[in-house]
Amino acid sequence: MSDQSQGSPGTLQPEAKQRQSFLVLLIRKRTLMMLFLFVIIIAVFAIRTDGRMIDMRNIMQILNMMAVSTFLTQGVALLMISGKLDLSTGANGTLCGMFLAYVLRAGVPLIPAILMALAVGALVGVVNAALVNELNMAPFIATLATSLIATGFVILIAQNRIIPIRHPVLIDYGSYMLFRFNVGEFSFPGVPVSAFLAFCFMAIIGVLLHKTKFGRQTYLVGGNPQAAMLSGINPKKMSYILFIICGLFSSIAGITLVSRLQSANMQGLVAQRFQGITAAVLGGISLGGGTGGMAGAFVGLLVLNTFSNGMTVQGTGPGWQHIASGGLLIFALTLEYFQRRQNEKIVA
Amino acid sequence: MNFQQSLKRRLKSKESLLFLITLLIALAFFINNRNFLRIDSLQGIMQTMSITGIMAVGMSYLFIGGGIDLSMTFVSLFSGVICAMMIRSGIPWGIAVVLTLLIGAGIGAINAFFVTKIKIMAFISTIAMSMVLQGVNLILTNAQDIAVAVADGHTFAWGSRTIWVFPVPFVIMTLLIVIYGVILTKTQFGRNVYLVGGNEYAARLAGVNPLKVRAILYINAAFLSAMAGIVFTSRMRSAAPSTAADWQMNAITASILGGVAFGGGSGSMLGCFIGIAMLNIFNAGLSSIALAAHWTTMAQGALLLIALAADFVNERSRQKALRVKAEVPSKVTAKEGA
Repeated sequence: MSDQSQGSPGTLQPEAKQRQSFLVLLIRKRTLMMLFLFVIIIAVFAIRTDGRMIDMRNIMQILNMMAVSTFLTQGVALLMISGKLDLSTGANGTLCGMFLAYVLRAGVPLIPAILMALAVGALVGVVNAALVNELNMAPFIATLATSLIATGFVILIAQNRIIPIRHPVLIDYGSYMLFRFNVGEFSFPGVPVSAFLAFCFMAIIGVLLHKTKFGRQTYLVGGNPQAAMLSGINPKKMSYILFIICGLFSSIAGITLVSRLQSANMQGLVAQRFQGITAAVLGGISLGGGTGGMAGAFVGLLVLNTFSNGMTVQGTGPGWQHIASGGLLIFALTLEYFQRRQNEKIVA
Repeated sequence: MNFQQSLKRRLKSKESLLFLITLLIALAFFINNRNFLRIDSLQGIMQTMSITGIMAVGMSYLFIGGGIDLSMTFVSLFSGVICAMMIRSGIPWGIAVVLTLLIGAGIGAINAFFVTKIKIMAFISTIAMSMVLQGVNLILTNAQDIAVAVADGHTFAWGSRTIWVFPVPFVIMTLLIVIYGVILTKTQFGRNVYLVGGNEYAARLAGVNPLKVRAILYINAAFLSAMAGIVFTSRMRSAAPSTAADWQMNAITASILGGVAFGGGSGSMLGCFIGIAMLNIFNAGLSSIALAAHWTTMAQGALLLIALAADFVNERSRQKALRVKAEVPSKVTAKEGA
């Protein structure tokens, strides 16, 4: 929405346009603002940690962390654009990773095992969609309930143990670096495969959203369900598809995590369960649906991950990290309020 | 005659059905394990249910008024920690309790500000609040439990005493349910809560400020969470920075099980009480037949889903009933006109 109002300066009077301060521009152009914030965060932490923050190894660490949260964000972002929400992504991903490790240990070959893990993720998506569409439950409470059940299954499979992963392909997937090269003194450690894959997926989803009928339908369902229905879109079908996609992406996130850790534990993605939503909201995807895009979500991810990594490098304790991530979420949501007010002013 | 009619209505109501189901659940576990209904195990159930029960009162009020608070668990843990720290630093426990309750209400005011003024969706802003409080707890306690009132004779240890056969926390919860039930049914404010939750637009037309009512509900919810935290601290004689048990989830499940409509506008404190009892008897029963932890977690999720599904069916039949009622007079007038 913000991009549209930006693109139509005809509605503004020339004087009004001049009065537009830099601050207003920042508030209205969410992606720009987040990029600005990103640069500030990088600069502040780089100074505070004597450059350790922007050292190559640490950047690799950030990219590694980002791979998982990027997968988590994509599905949720799509759902949020269509006006729904999924709080079970963390539990779902943990379950799928655990399931993969369990099935591999039981002797199932790699490809069927991964397909089974993806199927579990999709199944959770179907259950979520069914609860929301058939029984009219509010998405957040229904997915909260399914996340409880998924966590139950995680405990059931794990029995308080850590299941190791020994399959060479998965270990490679978790640790291999693409595009590694050395030029004289300078050596580029490369990009983690998982992060590369995650970013590719994100780009594909972004293109899908903006260039295809499916993408436009997603926006319409989120922005105006009534109009979507009248224009011949089946909102129920859309929501089933999107919940399944979200489940699949959670599953991939879980698989990525266990490959990187080379084991599956019960904590899994629990700490990251709200990361997807926070990143999406930071990036300008509103909870009401119909606005935002993948570029914004990506910048939101950058902000979120550099921020938490910066704090870790700096040696901030877990207490302050919790406070900061909660504060960041509140900040993002408050921004949305100012943006909404600004838009209302323009319309008025 | 009048009494008989009201008795009949009572027996047909949602609450009596729920009560019957609760009794059946208790009976089923009793048949399985004869120790289940012994007085000490019942006392244990009462102890456990009182923490989530006090929260469920606040949660039910919020549901009836069309809101939700997902920061309750951490508000109560935080309050417990604050209370324990104050008592340890030598402040008399009565004053510490009052101060803690005020701090709890203050957190509720922050929640209310974000929900009603900034208009952030309630569940996400309260989740953010719970993240912040989780951090504050870790910093305050260094991730350690804070012991308080270790000696048996200490007056703050009232949480583990009993009045006749009833544990003190249970008495507190029951009193709260009675008081809040009276407020809900007999006062102007109670009716306003129903009105705001049922039809916000109509409430505004009737001169009720929905934002103000809802703000009070958020403050009240955090206040009650703080009370639950104090009761917990008093019972355990120590405060913990985090808990494995998801109290607010239990409070949500209990409220919806008790027939409080998730979408707002209907529900009662009696139902809330039966919901809490049902949930806790179910949980205690599960652990009495020695089921492992994962089954309990799953059963909890399943129970919440069943409650939500029942809520959906209930809501739909209510809507249908309303539609039929609205249609009948119009048909009558049409006939008269002809």
